[in-house]
Amino acid sequence: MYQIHLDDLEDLAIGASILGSGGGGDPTYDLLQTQVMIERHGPVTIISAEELQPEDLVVPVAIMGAPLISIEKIVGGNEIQQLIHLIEQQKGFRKVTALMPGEIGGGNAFTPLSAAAKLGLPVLDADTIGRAFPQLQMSSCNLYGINPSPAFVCDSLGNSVTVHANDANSLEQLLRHIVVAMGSSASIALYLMTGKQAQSCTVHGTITQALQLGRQVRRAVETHQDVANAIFEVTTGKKIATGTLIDIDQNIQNGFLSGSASLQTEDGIITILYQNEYLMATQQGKTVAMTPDIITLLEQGTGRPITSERLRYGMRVDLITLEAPPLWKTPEGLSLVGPQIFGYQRSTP
Amino acid sequence: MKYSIGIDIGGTNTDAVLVSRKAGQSTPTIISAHKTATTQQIGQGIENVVSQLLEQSSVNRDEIGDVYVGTTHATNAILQNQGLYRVGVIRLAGHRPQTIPPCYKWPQLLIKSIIAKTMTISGGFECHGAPITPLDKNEARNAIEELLAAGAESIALIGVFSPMNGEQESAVADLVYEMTQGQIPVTMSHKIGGIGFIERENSTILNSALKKVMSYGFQELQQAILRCGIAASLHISQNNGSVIELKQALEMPILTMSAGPTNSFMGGARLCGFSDAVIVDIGGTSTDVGVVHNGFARRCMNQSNIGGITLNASMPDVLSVALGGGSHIQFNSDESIRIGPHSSARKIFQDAISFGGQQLTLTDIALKLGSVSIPNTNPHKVELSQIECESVFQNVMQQINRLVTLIQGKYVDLPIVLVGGGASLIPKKHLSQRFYIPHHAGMANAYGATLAEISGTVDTLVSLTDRDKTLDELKQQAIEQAIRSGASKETTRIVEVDIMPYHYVPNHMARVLVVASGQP
Repeated sequence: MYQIHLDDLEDLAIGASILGSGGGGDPTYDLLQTQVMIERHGPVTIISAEELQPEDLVVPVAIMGAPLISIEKIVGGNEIQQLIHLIEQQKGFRKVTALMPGEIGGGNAFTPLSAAAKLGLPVLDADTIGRAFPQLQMSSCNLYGINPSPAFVCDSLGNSVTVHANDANSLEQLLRHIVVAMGSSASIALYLMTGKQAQSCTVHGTITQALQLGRQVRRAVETHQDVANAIFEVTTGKKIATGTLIDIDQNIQNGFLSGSASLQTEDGIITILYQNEYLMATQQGKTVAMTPDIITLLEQGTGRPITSERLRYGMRVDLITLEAPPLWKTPEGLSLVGPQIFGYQRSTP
Repeated sequence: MKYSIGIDIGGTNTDAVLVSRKAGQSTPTIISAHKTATTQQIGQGIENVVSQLLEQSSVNRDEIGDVYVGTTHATNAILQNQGLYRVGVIRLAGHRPQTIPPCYKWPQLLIKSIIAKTMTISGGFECHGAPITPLDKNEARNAIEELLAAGAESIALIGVFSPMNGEQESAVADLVYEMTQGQIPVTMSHKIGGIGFIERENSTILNSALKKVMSYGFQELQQAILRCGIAASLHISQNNGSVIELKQALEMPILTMSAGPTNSFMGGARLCGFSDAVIVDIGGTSTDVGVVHNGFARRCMNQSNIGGITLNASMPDVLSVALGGGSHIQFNSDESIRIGPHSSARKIFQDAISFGGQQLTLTDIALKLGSVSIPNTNPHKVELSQIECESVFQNVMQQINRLVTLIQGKYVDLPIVLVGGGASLIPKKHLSQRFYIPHHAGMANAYGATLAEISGTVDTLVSLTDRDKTLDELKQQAIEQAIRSGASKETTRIVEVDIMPYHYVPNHMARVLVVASGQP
């Protein structure tokens, strides 16, 4: 058990962006919101999975929808509280005892923190992905058989819907439509678990990991050390190349930002393919990094991770890859989030 | 023959050029140029520089048709927290967000001196176009009354997704005018533009506050020009390199904040006759590097920042390094060379060794190598070998080339234009064939001001389901806006289209930025 204070939040934003693999949205506004809430209500308690009681009720929360919307229609601040209220009114559910991020990568790392500060609830040091993925079925909870339903969704005006879907894929489809009707951004709670389930079905320690990553980057920048090396001191990974972004070709396919970025390096051009998240990097036809491993671009000088919507021509970046949580490398994991799910052929690097 | 004057009012120097332009010709010729120190009261400096210009030429005062001015006056007002209005802020956001308040993370002193009160009322739009909640005019009236009672001298209106639909903001602005008989100025955020509520709100509030100092500053400017006997129309440079009329500059002072680098980039390219180039502006303390594309300075798509406040103002894409003519040079024991960040800047005439001082500066090295000569200097006092001096410039060029590589991306064949007071310092042997130094390189900023066209910008969020039709409409809007602002119909064309698609949103929503531009 430890507390997250105001001073930790910028580190968390950097770390969450690194784990976002280019997706999950730039956390700038989520960071601001959480800073406001912790200034007002005090620090947030982070607990580890071992500290959970078997009968606890653990609720993963997230904001679903377009990151664009929440930088214009900023969140109201009562959404998660309303979701908790809905859950506690459901038959068969007890009091919510802990929140957790549904997704650690990007802005959603912050979603439980603002509410937890306000409500005095602890936040579990875990998430259900270990990085960012674009769809709700891409979750450790789905992999381990936790029922995603009932799922709860509400907007900042107080409208809410409780959804019972047959499976995670159907839930993704249904919620996508509801979220669009709510203005293309809404708060959700799903994969509700007991403490016992949370101990075995989530990716542990990811809030701490994000904090550590952010801290390493900040210290490396402050002391003019190599940022990538500082990252590899706490997480397994490797630097693939350093280069300048010389071309960005993007479009929207099926609602997802998709495209390719060309990185001019000393050893030729590396092409990075993305669909919200960076999914694959190739050099002269050879795959040099591939999902589910995390692929991150770090801006030289500042060490800031560059999300796919912030890719800008002329940026000078380090391309690094971090190892995915082991569950995604199993045959079952790969069938949920492997390259073929995104339309790529898996080839040997 | 048409004559005009271009003036760049910087923090240190005020530069001015007198140019002539043949009918139908877009590139003006410099007739005379003059540099003077910027004065506390900007009017005095303007009078000095303009009378010098006229003395040096045979052009009559009444032949001057236009005066173009670029200034950092607004930026300085914010940084010094001087002469700003007290602002009342209204958010039109029906979901009444309880999280990020207005002016979050601003310097406390600035908040204290400029924020009268902030309110949130119904209104705002969803991304698909419906109101979040309808605007309630009675609630709006009450809010305006409360703000006025709290001492607001200027009102800032910020509605959710207003860049897509400015109706609600306009309706509230009308209420303010009606209730105060037009005495209280209003800034509407949809006129500022851009998606990103907090940055747009910051820009809108600062713009409201700046209306006071800018109306004084610009009036002083206009009077100074009148005192010089010039009855020309006054144009103010804005950040994107086009100009707005005085009246519009008074409405939108925030648009004029970063005109300096934009003007030198555009001026530098045109002095060499290029429409696409990398520009390196070497000043006394720092060097700015930027790109000109189609005759315009490329803009920065990231957030900009003034005095610790993030803004969404459209700023030129600039990379800077602390390296200039006054930069201090230090030879370390390990034979490495340190250039800057300290600079003698204005004091170079006392500080530098060649001028009789103690400090080794970049200008001393150039004098020693003979790449420039300045009367009444003693470069032989610089006790360095030829090789040492050359190695300093090797280091300078490494730094400049690094920034050029960064900013040019794949356009590795673009010419590189050196401008600014320090451009002439670099010995020719260090410059590859890509480099050009134009005549009047030191006046690129003031010259750039005279090139400015009049532009119209549309920055909005639209559905691109019917892509071609929608883009055509936006282009037409931008063109009409430019013409309304005074651009001629024949010369107005689209100079920039930037499409940033958004994911997870239905109907192919995208942020689209279109700029049209034409000659006055």
